[in-house]
Amino acid sequence: MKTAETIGSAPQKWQAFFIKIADIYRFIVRIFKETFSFPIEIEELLKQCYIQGNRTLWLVSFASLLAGVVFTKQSRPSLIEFGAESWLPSLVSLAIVRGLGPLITALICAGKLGSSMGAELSSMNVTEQIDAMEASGTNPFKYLVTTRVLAITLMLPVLVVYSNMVALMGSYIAVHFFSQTTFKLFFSQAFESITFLDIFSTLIKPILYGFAIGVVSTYAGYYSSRATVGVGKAANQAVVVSMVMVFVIEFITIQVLGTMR
Amino acid sequence: MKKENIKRNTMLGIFVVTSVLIFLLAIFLLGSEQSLFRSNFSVRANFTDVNGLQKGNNVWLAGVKIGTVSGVTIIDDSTVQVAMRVQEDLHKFIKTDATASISSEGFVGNTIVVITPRGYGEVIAENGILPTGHQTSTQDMLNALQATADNIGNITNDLRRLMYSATQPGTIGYLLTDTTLGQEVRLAIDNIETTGRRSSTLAADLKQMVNGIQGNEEGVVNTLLNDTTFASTYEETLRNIRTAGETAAKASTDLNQLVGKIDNNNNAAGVVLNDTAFARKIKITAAELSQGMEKFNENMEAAQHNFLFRRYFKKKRKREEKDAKE
Repeated sequence: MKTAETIGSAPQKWQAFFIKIADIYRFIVRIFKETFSFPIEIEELLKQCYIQGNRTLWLVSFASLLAGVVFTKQSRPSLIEFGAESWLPSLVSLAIVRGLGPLITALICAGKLGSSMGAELSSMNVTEQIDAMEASGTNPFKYLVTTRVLAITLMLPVLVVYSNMVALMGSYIAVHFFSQTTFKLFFSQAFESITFLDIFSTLIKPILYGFAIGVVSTYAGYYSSRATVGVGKAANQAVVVSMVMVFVIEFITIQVLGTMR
Repeated sequence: MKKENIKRNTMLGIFVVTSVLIFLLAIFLLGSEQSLFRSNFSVRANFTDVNGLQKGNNVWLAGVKIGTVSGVTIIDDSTVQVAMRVQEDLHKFIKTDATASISSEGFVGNTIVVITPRGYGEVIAENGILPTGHQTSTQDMLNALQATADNIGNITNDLRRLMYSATQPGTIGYLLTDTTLGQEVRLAIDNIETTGRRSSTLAADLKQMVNGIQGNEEGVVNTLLNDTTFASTYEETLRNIRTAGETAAKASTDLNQLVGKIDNNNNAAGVVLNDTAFARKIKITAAELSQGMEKFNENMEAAQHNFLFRRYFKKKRKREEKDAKE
């Protein structure tokens, strides 16, 4: 039964909220500190890069391919209505490079990798493996958190490049199916409307997404409750907050990039 | 390093390298699209209005993309300078008399710069300024469309008024509302058809008649139409008729004058014809003269029997009898 003590009063809630913000801030600062301090856990970093990059590639590629095909098929009737079917490659490429590619990749990674990181760290916390690492003289934060955050921050832009390419290929397949457009013409038209700022944004955004997903997921797992339910809660929190953070960052970057156009 | 780690790191390396290559390819495609990796030359053009032209928009020469806009700068309140980067190998086609104009790629396309070559001037220098021309823009088309729409609006209003007046009593209203008119029109058409048929028959008869005339070489009409010698005779006859007519007219005038004079009581004829008292006198005189003549005849008869003249009359009677016998 919920009581006033368990719920807490409003000022206490706000206090808890700000304490959490301060914790997250200290968590992020520590990540930066640990990232640029020796020794670097290169083996673990590469392992995490492989898990978060290579292992996610097929899922991201499949989703991006379908997204490219679906987006093209959905856009085509509207463009035909305006007599602008020839603009389809330009429209699709702009949509993929500016928003769709990074967003789809980030959301998939938030779902797959965020939940994985949150659950993994939380279960280690529950089973006191983190304490054991500390006792054995290993820096668990550097080994577990920094490597994972760094790995997803580095791998997400790489995945986005693949994602964009595969989505454009999917779009080409859809366009070619309807209009028999040649490969060269499609990509010529697709790159006609893209600018260097779009390429720049398609790399910058996933770095921010990756960092946010990494921080949120590792924080949820690293500071989860010691109870068994903490694992599920941490995984759930990692996914939900990561996805919300992806959209918040998307909104902010669009505003910032909009001023630069 | 463990074997598993080596395999994993190799896969990761391939994954990252491939990604970087794809990214570089994208950069290269983008660069080639914007002619970054080709040797270019710059030209400029000053416009009063660039219609939303931006850096990166295309430059066309004879419908072919040859470069991009590298800068749009406002020089003063009525001049916008557009700098363009154009492929170096096409430099020779852009002469000093070529004109640059603002247009768009289709009806809803991007704004572009169109260079129209003339081909008579010298090749333009690096960073030279092209003269500007005017291309039909979307705005021009919209303006023309607006004018057409206004005209259509006026026409529609006129039509509406016309239709309203057609429903009112009047000639057109009668035409539209009279139900018997159709039958009458049909009847009229039938009549026209009948007339046409008859005309056709008439024409056939006429043709036959003409053929008959043409066939009868001795006929009057044929002579009139074909005998060239008859023309002079005909002309002379006409001339005579004209002369006779003129003479008749003159005679008529003279007669008219004569009648006028006769009507006048101041002369003898007028008096004879118009004075009734004089006529009575003449009548009395004539009667008296008749009586006088009877008496004169009696006297003359008496004179014939007189011995003085008897011999003369006897001789005369004998001569007449002799002439009769001969």
